[in-house]
Formats: sequence, structure tokens, C-alpha cells
Amino acid sequence: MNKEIHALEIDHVSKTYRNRTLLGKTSAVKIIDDVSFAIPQGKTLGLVGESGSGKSTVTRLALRQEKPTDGSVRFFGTDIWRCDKERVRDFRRSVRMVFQDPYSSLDPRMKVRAILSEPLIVAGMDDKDEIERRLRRTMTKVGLASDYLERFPREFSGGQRQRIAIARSLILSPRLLVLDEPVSSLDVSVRGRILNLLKDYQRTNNTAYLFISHDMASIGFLSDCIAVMYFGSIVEIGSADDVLQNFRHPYTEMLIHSSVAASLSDRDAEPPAELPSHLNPPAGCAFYGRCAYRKDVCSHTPPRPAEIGDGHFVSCHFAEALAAVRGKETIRRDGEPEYAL
Amino acid sequence: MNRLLWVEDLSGHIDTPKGRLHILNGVSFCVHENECFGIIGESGSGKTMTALSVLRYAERLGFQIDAGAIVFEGEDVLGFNKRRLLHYNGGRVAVIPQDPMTSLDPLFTAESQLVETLRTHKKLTVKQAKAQAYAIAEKMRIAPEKLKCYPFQLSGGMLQRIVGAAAIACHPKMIIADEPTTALDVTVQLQYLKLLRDIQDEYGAAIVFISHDMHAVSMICDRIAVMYAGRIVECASKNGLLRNPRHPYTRALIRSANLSGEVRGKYDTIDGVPPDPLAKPVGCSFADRCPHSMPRCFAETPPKTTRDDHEVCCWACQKDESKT
Ligand SMILES: Nc1ncnc2c1ncn2[C@@H]1O[C@H](COP(=O)(O)OP(=O)(O)OP(=O)(O)O)[C@@H](O)[C@H]1O
Ligand SMILES: Nc1ncnc2c1ncn2[C@@H]1O[C@H](COP(=O)(O)OP(=O)(O)OP(=O)(O)O)[C@@H](O)[C@H]1O
Ligand SMILES: [Mg+2]
Ligand SMILES: [Mg+2]
Repeated sequence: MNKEIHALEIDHVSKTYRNRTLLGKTSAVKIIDDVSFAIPQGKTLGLVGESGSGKSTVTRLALRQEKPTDGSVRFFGTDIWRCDKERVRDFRRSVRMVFQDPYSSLDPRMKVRAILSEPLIVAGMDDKDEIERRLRRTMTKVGLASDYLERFPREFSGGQRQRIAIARSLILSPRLLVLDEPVSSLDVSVRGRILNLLKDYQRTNNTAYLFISHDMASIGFLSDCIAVMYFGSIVEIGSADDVLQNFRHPYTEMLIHSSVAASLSDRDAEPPAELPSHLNPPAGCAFYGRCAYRKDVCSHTPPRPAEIGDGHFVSCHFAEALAAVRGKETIRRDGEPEYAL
Repeated sequence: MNRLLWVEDLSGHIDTPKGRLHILNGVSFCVHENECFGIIGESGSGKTMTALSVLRYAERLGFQIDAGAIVFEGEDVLGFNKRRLLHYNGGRVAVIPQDPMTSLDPLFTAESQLVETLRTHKKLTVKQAKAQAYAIAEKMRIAPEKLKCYPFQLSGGMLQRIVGAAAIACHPKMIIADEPTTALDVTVQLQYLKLLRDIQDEYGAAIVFISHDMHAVSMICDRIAVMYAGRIVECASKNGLLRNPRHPYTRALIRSANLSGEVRGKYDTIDGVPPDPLAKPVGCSFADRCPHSMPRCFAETPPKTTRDDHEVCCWACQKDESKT
């Protein structure tokens, strides 16, 4: 067994939503299908995947906002759905979240000062000067002037709001921080500052991060492990180096290759996509419709995850073959960027 | 090429209990028919506020215009009355807002909202509108069943695309897209950008593309403007700006954008913070973060100089030029 302490373990978790349609029928859609991963204390798992693949749903399951239909979620070894109230309260105190949408996650009636000091007061801090010092220090860290403390959330630009949400999540040292696209609304310079801040913060506080982003550069910068999601399942997971440089799933390949300034005309070569549907899930591999390497077997047999290296799992019938096709090709690290279309 | 939108020396402020915030300090640019015009710049530099001013939404947020002009197809936008405005907004000019939920109603399904938008701006039967809604959703790579969902049942990227679909569906003359791709993974983003470009070709719409994402901007824009502290500090063709950036802020921006890909270790950032909008700007607002600043930069606002259609507001660049 692994001796590392796991801050968060997602163990064979599935989630099915049942919705009543207008006609009174219920439809069941399986959004998360048998997802497993673990994040050691003080480490970061980067979660990437196509829009709508279920990343935000995974965060809701990890934070105990929704109950998994199957499987278990453990926080430092405790199953958060099978434990006493005291443990649940402890869990709530130890986890923080930065939401994908910076607009609806801040209470519009509260000034920034109140938004940031609330968690400190709830935690029992009553020294006014100490609170003030903490607030100012945190604001500077995220690159905002301290007189912004007197403003309401609506008076900020999108990126400024996101930084307030990040400041709020860091002000009480959490043991697990879930970040859902925290940097996508930030310009590169501020993004760099926030990513550096998150990295330093993790080093000093030993916080575990579940970090969601579609920006492969930020993912590579912050993650120790990377999981790639497609249509509700993890299709590839492994150490950051394995996934970024020795990726074996065709979708990972697509993500990594299009993250370098690619030309639009090149993209035309992608096969016309057939959208997988939740109401009528594909019998075989969900990526079949977009895959450049597909064979007959992919259309009727879903691939199972196979370990191809130490802790590196891939769900693809042709993971081995793919490595041979691609040879030694890895992410491009240098060279002139090309802008021409 | 014909000028479609022309913004000249637009300045404006918001009054708060703490004092006056100088948010736009002389924004000038023009957008030609059929072109894709990009605006990039630091968070809080006034990109959204510029877009909202062009749409005449900004005044509802307490934004007051002090000076300047906005001209669309030869008409004075700031002088429009209510009736003209109704025709202008959503009809001739459509916006894809930064926050998708501002334009979606949580109580209605995506389908009914798309159909509603289509029917308000075009004379269509419900059946026709539905057919169009599904056609455009397919182009956006949204599965048909997702149109039957309420906003809370959709992912962040789907919401963003639904809002985009609604704006595009009515074939406006100009689309202002305010960071429309922030919640999309790269593969979907490429398709989205391509769709925007197709629409541009097909219907001859101009696009104002606001973003902080250099990759996205460099993929679809013909010309790019760089905004800093409420001013456009540089504006040029795509290649002119990316290959030959002149303003020190643009250069720093391109450096930290790391366009060639992979980063590990430390991220490149631009030191310092943007100026406080409470202070009335004197001189160049980038001066105290700029490696090339001279005494003059702190005292006088640099005027716009143009060479080969490449506009820049910078004293240091002017000095370099006079030497050569
Ligand atoms: N309450 C719900 N009822 C039904 N379906 C839902 C519900 N919530 C989410 N879904 C569906 O679950 C899928 C995954 O959504 P999720 O928000 O987790 O995606 P995501 O990976 O975060 O995508 P994005 O990158 O676009 O934010 C989507 O297809 C969405 O429509
Ligand atoms: N309602 C408001 N009241 C007071 N100040 C505001 C208001 N709305 C915006 N501001 C301020 O105006 C400035 C410009 O905001 P704007 O939203 O235009 O920035 P932006 O360039 O779009 O940034 P981002 O990339 O973060 O979205 C910011 O400093 C912001 O704090
Ligand atoms: Mg999401
Ligand atoms: Mg904005």
C-alpha cells in the first residue's frame, strides 16, 4: 500500500441525475461514470477535459455538495458521507473552493471587507488589528489595492472579482482547495502572479489542490498529477510528466497539440464530430467520433483503463500502438510562434 | 474599407462614495466593415466598460461619459433616443457578454430563450426559429438534448456557447464578444473561433473580440488594440503588433503570454500594479512600471503617433523614431 497521506480520495464514484421532463416522465443521465483518483497532502491534481465532460460535477461531489450515486469520497481517510456531524463540520472548515463563475459566487450585498473577514470571524479571530493586517496582506498578494476593500462585487471587472474569490479562499489556511478554472478570466500577467502565489502558498501551507483548467500551460505549471476527462470518465491519468510528454490517449494528444498556437486551417482536418449523447450513450468508446486512430472494435467495445507505466493509466484500445506511431514526439518547447492563418 | 464603428477620445467616470473613478481616459479606435478587431489588455483596464459604452449599457451602471464620440454607420450613437436604441441594441449590434448568466434567465430552458431571441429580432414562426436554434447549436457543438435543459443543468462552457449562439443567430452588423472563450477547452475553442470567422465571411459581420488570450486573439483578429488603464496604447495589424510590438507594455504582455507553449518553474509576470483609477491620470499611466521611462513620461500624456498604420502612444518610441 501507499504510505502517502491522501487529502482527498475519489473512489469509483458515479453520478446520475434524474430529471423530470415537462411531460412528467423522468430521464436519468449518467454524468460521471466510475471516476477514481487520489490527491496526496500538499500535492496538486490537475483535471482537464472537454467542456461538459463533468469537471465541475466532480468538484461538487468532492466538496459534499452532492451525493454520489455510487462509490465513496474520503477526506484524510474519512468517508465524508458515512461519518458523524462533528467530522462533517471539520471537513467544511478545512476545504475551500474557487468557483468557475466569479459573478455569482460573491454575495452582491456584501462589501469586499465583509466578504474577506467573514471566514476569519467565523473561525474565532477577534483581534481587529490582526484582521485588518491579514486583509491588507491578502489583497496585496492577489494584486489589488487595499482601498478596494470598501467596494461591492459589482464594481469590479471580471478578473478583479476572480481575484477576490481567490483571496477569500486562501485567507483561512485550508487543507484542501478546489479551484475550478481560477485563472481563465485573468490576463497573462495577473495569471502568472496568481499561479506563483498558489505555488508558494502550497509549499508553506501543505495544502492539497484539485485544480481545473483548460490551459495546459497552467496545468503543467501547478500539477504533480494530471487526469484527463472525456464524457464523464477519466481517459488518462498519471504523473504530470507522463501525461504531458508521454501521453497515450488521442484526446490528450489533441488537447496538447492544439494548446500551441495552431492554425485554424490545420484544424479543418479534424473529422466531423459526432456528439455523444447522455440520453443515448455510445456503446463503445465515447471519443470514437473524433478519433483519428479509430478501428472497428472502438465502436462497440468500451476500452478499459490499462496501466502502461508506473501509475499511468490510459483507457484506449490502442494505447500501445499509438506510442509507436508517434515515436519520440513530445510537446514543443521552443521555436518561433507562427501566427499566420 | 468602410468605417463601421468609430470611437473618438472617449472618456468617462463613475462616482463612488470614495471619489471619482477615472475609468476611460481617451479611448480612440475604429472598426471597419467585415473585419475582426481585437482588444486585449490587463484585467481592469476598461475593456468591458468600452464595450458597454458602445452598446449604451454603461450608463445603467452609473458610468458617465465626459467627452468623446461614438459613431456607428455614420450615426451618432450617444444621441440615440429610446426607440432607435432598441433597434440598435441586439439588432444591429449584438453582444456576447463576459458573464453568461447576465443574459440568460434561470427559469427558462436554453431552447426557449434562443427561440425567443430569434423571434424578437427576425420575423420567424416558432417552427422556423426552432429549426434555426438547433442548427446553430449543432455548429457550436452543443448536443440537441442540452437545449432542453435549464441553465443550472448546463456546464460553464455550454452556457457560454448558448449565449454566443443567441448573439450570432440574429445576424447583426457587428458582434461584440467579451471574453467568449474563457470557459472552453482548446479544441472547442478552436471550433468556436472558426464559427465566428465563418459568420463573418458569410454575413459580412464585423467582430470586436475582447480577450486577454493572445492565442485566441492572434487566431482570428485582423487588427489588434492594446488597452492599458483606460486608454488604447497601441493599435496595429495582427502581424505588425505581434512581430513588431512597440509599446513597452505590449512587449511585456507578449513576453508573458509565452506564445511558444510550455512553461514550468516560475511564471513571467509584469512587475508592479496598474494605477489606481481614483487618481486623475497625469502623464503616461504605464510610466512607473516601464523600464524605459523618462522624466517626461511622468509629466505629459504621450500623444498618438502613426507610422505605416501602426499607432502607438509612447514618448520612448517617439524618441527612437526621431533618431532613425
Ligand atoms: N443538475 C443537472 N441535471 C442534469 N444534467 C446536469 C446537471 N448538472 C450538470 N449536468 C450535465 O453534466 C455535464 C457535465 O457538467 P459539468 O458542469 O460538470 O461540466 P464541466 O466539465 O465542468 O464543463 P465546463 O468546462 O464547460 O465547465 C453536462 O453535460 C451538464 O449538462
Ligand atoms: N459599477 C462599477 N462601479 C465602480 N467601478 C467599476 C464598476 N464597473 C467597473 N468598474 C471599474 O472599472 C475598471 C474597468 O473595468 P472593466 O470591467 O472595463 O475591466 P476589463 O478590462 O473588462 O477587465 P477584465 O479583463 O478583468 O474583465 C475596473 O477598475 C473596475 O474596478
Ligand atoms: Mg465547469
Ligand atoms: Mg471585462
